[in-house]
Amino acid sequence: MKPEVENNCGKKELLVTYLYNETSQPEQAEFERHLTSCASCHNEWQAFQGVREELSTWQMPFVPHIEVVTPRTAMDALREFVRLVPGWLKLTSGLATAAAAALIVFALTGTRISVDKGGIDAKFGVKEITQVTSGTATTATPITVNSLSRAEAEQMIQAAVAQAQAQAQQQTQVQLASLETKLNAAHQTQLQTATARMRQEQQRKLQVEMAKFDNGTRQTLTEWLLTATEASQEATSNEKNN
Amino acid sequence: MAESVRQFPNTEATEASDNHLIARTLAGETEAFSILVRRWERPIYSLTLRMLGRDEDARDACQEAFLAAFRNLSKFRGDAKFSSWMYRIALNACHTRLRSSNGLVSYSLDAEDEHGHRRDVADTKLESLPDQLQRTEQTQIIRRALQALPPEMRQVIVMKEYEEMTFAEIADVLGLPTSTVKSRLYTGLQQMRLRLNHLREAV
Repeated sequence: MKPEVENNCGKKELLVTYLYNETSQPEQAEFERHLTSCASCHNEWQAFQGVREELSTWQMPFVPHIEVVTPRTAMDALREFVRLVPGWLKLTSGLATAAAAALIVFALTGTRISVDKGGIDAKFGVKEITQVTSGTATTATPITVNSLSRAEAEQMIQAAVAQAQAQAQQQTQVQLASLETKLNAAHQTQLQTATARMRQEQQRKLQVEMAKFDNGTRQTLTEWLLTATEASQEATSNEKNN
Repeated sequence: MAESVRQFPNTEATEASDNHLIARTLAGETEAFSILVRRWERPIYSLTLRMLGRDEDARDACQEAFLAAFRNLSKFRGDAKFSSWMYRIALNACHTRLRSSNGLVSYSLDAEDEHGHRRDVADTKLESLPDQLQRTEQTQIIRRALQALPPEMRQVIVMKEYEEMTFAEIADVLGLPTSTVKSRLYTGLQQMRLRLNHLREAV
């Protein structure tokens, strides 16, 4: 689509800069002087102002609530847990202690704790994030306990400690089994290495013996040949002399 | 002119605050990213709406853009403004949508109001019916004229007119010289002028 009236003036960039009030003071003065003498630029400037006014009538009176649901990894949860737990607690060792302390912190701060099939699930006050949605987040809906009585909290802590201990025991067994397998494998490897070394050593000795034997035989043959040659030469010279 | 889309001025303080929120997000505090979304959802939605013309497409592009930003946050270099980076991602989301529809967003303007919503949604604004109709008609003309522009011109007009960005900011987002941005804006305004005249005559 070509403009009805072509503006061949070389001040197009300056025109738009002036239109959006981004000219420096000298530029502004220069262009305002130009406008008084250039009809093309003046007409275009006025027309563009009209276009701007029309564009401004398309208003955006509201903004939809953009819900960006981001994936939440176990590592994120762990980082947040470490951030939330007070410094003195970080020094305390022991899985059961940490789990119980976390529950106490959540219970006291009113952080959402939900209970579902998988056991007690601390949500850290953040929605469980699974996918992108508009308006509302699609979340799994576990049974949520927002406020806990003391007895309920103690019960939950005991359950958590028991669960943590059971998990720790299970993990230890798995680790032991894994260690045993690794040791057996290591033992086998060591045996194989030792056997290979013995074989190599035997071969090396054999080669040395063979070499000695070869050398001895060669020397003996050489000596025999030398002796024989000398004897032959002696016999020849004797014959000549006779 | 157009209503301001910026809840937060794009100052050095905002930039520092954005960078702080990014660092917190990267440290695992995903709530910090939600603050960034709240801060920039208005300008980003405004951009996608004016680029694509329809609310539904604009929302989708907006969400895609924020999700892409979250996924690539570790690649964000502090030497650029977060807002410029975010606008670039949002424009890419718009261009992808425009490409998939061969540059044409096909929809019936008659079935929608001036914001790209279906008309069956009741308008509760205190505005007389003739005024509403006139404004709806006017906005439809503008939307049609904008949608008919080539995307490279449209994006410059949208960023200048609705996002109130400076020429330098637009050049930064597009990775173009300022003179090219001005030249595209000039040509875009020329074409808008002609298209608006034609559309008004047709109506």
